[in-house]
Amino acid sequence: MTRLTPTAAQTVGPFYSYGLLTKEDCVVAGPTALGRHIKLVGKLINRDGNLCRDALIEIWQADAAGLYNGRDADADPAVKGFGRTLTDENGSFEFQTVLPGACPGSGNSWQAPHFAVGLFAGGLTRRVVTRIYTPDSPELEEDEVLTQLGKEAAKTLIGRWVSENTLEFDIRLAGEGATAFLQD
Amino acid sequence: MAPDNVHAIAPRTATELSGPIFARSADEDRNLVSGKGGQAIGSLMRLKVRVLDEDARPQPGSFIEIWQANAAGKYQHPQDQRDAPIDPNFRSWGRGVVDANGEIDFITIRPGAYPVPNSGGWWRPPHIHLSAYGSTFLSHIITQLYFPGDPLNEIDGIFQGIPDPVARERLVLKPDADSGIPEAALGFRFDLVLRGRSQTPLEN
Repeated sequence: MTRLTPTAAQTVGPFYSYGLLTKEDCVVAGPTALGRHIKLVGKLINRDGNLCRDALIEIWQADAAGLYNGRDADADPAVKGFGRTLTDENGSFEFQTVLPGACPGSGNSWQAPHFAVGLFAGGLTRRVVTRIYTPDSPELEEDEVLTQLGKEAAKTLIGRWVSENTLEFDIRLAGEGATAFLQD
Repeated sequence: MAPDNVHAIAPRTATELSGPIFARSADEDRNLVSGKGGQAIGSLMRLKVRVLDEDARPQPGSFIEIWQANAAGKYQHPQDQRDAPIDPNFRSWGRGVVDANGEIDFITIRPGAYPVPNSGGWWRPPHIHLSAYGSTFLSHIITQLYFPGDPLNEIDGIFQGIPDPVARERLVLKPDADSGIPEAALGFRFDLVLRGRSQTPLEN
């Protein structure tokens, strides 16, 4: 059987915002979604500690019951699950969403509630992928991604609550305290 | 640059094996050249994109977005500060969902080359940016499509940044009369291959 080689990726370039973004894209869950409504906020920081503007950040998540739109028939229709935004002039991003539920992982394990994150930025030749977790989930101990990463790297994937309904997570591309990325 | 802190391979759980579903958008979203005041300036072309997986199976439902400069090499973007004309009849982006054969086409113009600021004379060759989302969160790729035979391709730092000449060649559009419109628009084809569910990690 023919085996095709995947197309090579190229940098997103500086001029994509009009091509890729609409205003509603940072709203991941509508007002009628079940669960705890939160803001997911953060900053993108490069190796030198500088804030990066105009980076494209995408998230993908389950609903409050841990079900994925389009995959699970019973998923909450008010949770689109997908969000996309651009970092602003201060390197900041913000999504409006609900806290996802834990969902099944490999074998009989459970994955702690998490947001899958994809990041494109000028200067990166391809997308980088990681996850954001909350600090207070009982499933953190058994989560397969965190276990594979080991304690130190796993810490870089845990957000912090800065108010009752605001989860903050800064993405550090490199250098001290750099976010652990996952090979996709 | 590539981040140096890749610590683990993403598993293949519900998170990675599901992904956003994009609504079909309006037909007008695939036509970049029909402005209120008439047709955009430039060499009209129709671009037919086909999305396949590594087993050459069409990937219906994939979501394609393109964006590009106008015929003068000018982007409709506040950060493009160059003194080149904006074409009011050209819209710099297109989007849509591929059909059951994995295909979608766009009507656009051949973009112009443009200088990279503060680069000592580097001009980007004409190119079209493309984003493709397959059926899973992991199957999202952004890349750039180039025109065959353009001399600037040979000296472009971004195109030549892909070391493998065969991989570079795959980013070059193929002239194709059947994709064109007789006596109106040049035809070009582009086959995009997304990594499948059994994908092995890319060498970087």
